[in-house]
Amino acid sequence: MWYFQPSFEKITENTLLAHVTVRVRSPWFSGHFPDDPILPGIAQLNMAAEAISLARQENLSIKRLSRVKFKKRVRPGERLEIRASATEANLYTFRITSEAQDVCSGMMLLAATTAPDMSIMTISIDQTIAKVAEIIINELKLEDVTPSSFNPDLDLVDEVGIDSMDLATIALVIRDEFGIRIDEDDYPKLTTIRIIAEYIDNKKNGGE
Amino acid sequence: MTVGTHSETAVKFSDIIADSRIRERWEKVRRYFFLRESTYDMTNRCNIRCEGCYYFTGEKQFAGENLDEGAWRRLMAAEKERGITFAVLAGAEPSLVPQLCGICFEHIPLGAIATNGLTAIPREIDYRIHISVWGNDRTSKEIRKAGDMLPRQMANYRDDPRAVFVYTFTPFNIDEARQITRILAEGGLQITFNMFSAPVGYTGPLRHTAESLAHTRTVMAELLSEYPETVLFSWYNIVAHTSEKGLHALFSCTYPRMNPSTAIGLGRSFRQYRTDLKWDRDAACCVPDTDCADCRHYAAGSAVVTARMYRHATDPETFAAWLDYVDTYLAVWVRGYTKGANLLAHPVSPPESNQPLTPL
Repeated sequence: MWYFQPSFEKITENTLLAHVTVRVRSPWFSGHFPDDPILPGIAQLNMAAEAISLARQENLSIKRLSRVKFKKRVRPGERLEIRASATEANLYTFRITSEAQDVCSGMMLLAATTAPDMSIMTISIDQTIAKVAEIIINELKLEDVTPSSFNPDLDLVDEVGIDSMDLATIALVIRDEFGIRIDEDDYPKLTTIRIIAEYIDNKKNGGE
Repeated sequence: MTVGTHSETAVKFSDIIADSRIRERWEKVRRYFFLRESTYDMTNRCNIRCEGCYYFTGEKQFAGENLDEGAWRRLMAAEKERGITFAVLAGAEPSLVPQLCGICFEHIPLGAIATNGLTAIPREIDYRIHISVWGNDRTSKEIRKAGDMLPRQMANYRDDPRAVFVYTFTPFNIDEARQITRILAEGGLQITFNMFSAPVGYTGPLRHTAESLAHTRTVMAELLSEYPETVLFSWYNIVAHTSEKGLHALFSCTYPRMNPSTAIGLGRSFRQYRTDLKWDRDAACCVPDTDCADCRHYAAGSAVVTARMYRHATDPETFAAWLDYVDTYLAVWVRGYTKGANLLAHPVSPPESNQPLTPL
């Protein structure tokens, strides 16, 4: 995740209090903005909605927002407090603060989703998967496959036929593209495009 | 001469290969990344008996011979099926079983044969032929108990493009390499260098010392400079094979003996078959029964250094050193591959070794 998993201090049926720390290497900051990193408002809203989803252990997505105000910029590594309380079914008032200063507040109507609502995460991982697939296709000069048609769960060794030197080449291009280092000892773990993409996202988000 | 060092922070790979000479060499060597080797002991017999011979150490020398050509055909077909593209035919003396070597060549057309060169291997077996040399003829007589070795070897492989002579440096034959290299150069033949690497439990005098390594380094550098057309070697080969640290300490050996992973690379595909056509993962490497801490063997380096591409891609100089090494490896092992001029004319420290090198 691009932030550390929320820690919940107080949860009742209708209220929650959670703490979240935004990762310094969150991909949000690379484009927003490179020289002046600020957490976008959509990310703050998503964080509040995910905290409620996790507390309720349900997959919820934002259906409507109202009275939303952004009052303070959120910087990399900042620790945030999220408070939310239900005024009626699925309708929450929420407030995000940082060191007692208001960051963001408003109301959000949530609705159950059939699939896990990890929209931002999903977009991120899908983009990484597509990029990794493109790198593999280009470097190995694979034919009859495109980044969108490349099954990210194919076993790269058993089903695609790549070997350690191929993987080392791919790792070098990934190093260039994503600015991460792939440890040689990790090669044996990188068996599918999806696993490589998750590895990249984890590294980019400050994971080991 | 000073020794180059690699930078702490990796330069982007695209910037490293932006240099036209590096890019050209990179494109040249990467075409051979499909090579996947395994090695095969062909017979438990040899026509000479050398001190410190790796074959006649450990259990493998006691494996029974399998001379059944059908069994060898089935084995090589299975090897090809599981993706092996390069066969190394070794112990004890493959030239004594040319019919088996021929079967290997029929199934896997790329490969190399390690031989003492006293019996010619038929020309139709178009593998690289590695002919072992352990000093001048007087020294060979003492260590290998065979007389006139070099003239006999040269007679068998004169004008043979398969042949490369492999000179194994011991503490006692270092200066003799000059004489051997000159003779081979005059004969239009090629030479590469190997280091005596002690078998497990070996207590004899051939184990290298810090002094003999330094002396070897000097002679290798001299011969590489003087005979660039004859000597298939690079400055980085010298660094990798004459360090007081062995190959495993410098590069982390990737052969199954030292590498528990079976997921990818040598740990997954490499096997070392004994003469009974069985193999043991715990003993599998290109020179079984060698003391890993003392291993500087040319065959080991060819796989171990080559496999460590990623860690050499830190800056153009370190990557160029690695390319020189791989270019040398391919020229020594693959028929039809022609070595280019070395990109570097000076030594470079191995990455992450933290090992200052003795200036040449």
